[in-house]
Amino acid sequence: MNTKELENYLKTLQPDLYSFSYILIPDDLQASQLIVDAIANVLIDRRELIDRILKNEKVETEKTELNHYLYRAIYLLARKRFHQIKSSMNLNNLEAFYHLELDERALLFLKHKMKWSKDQMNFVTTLSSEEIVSILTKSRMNLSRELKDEFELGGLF
Amino acid sequence: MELRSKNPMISLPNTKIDSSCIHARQLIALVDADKNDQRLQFFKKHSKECHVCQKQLKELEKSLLRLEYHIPKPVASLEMKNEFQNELSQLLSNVGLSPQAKLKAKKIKLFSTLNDVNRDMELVLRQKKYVFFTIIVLGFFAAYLINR
Repeated sequence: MNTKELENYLKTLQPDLYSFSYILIPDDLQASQLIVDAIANVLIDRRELIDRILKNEKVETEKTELNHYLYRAIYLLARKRFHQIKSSMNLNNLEAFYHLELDERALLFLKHKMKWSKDQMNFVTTLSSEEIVSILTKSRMNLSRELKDEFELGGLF
Repeated sequence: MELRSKNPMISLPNTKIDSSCIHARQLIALVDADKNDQRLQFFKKHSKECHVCQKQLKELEKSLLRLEYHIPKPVASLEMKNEFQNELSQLLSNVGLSPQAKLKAKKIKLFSTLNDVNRDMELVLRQKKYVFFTIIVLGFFAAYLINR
């Protein structure tokens, strides 16, 4: 794979990466910048992986690895940045989902929108399997509370 | 109210767990189970025969669908996409193999060429018609060494 092909591959990842960035930091510019910074981060920190991708033709495993590293970089950068800009953002005006904690939003998105496994979520968030299940359960409960459900979710979650 | 009127799941019935089957109570623990989880495999098999669990499973699926409806998947505007593509091109303009990787690639190429030559010579020498020729050459070489 050459540099141009790598660029094209990264372009195909952009829609999902943007969605993930935006649910973490609900701001157009911040979300977009987060992806660029994550890519720059991975290009430097994962040099050996990039070399493997540029050197070989069959790089399906490496591409998956790169994808996961990008999600991880976005998540870690967003965690730092969100705490700094949280006070300047008015999240109350946004949908109920954005009232949840950053970890809760990240895991709900990866689980229900990306259909990722616990292992993949563990790689991205570095949370243990037990922590992931616990946060997912709590976030579903919190979301249904935020939505002020007429029906009882309490029996289920 | 506006959200609810758009939501297809709004007329959901009460989703309290029916306790008439012990396995129905364990259903919630399986929401986050991985596909190859043994408990999930067992429940799938069991729910085919148990109408209580079938009902609970349907209720749960409906509830999850409703929740998923409220988990957004934002899309970037065209302007943002273009901006991203420009920044990406700039970012990758200087990206190539690192000097170490280039050196490693050269070494691998050289060794692979030497390996090919070696393999070809081995194949030639193994053929019967060349055995006589090889003995003669070796004989001349030995004579040369003795006479030196």
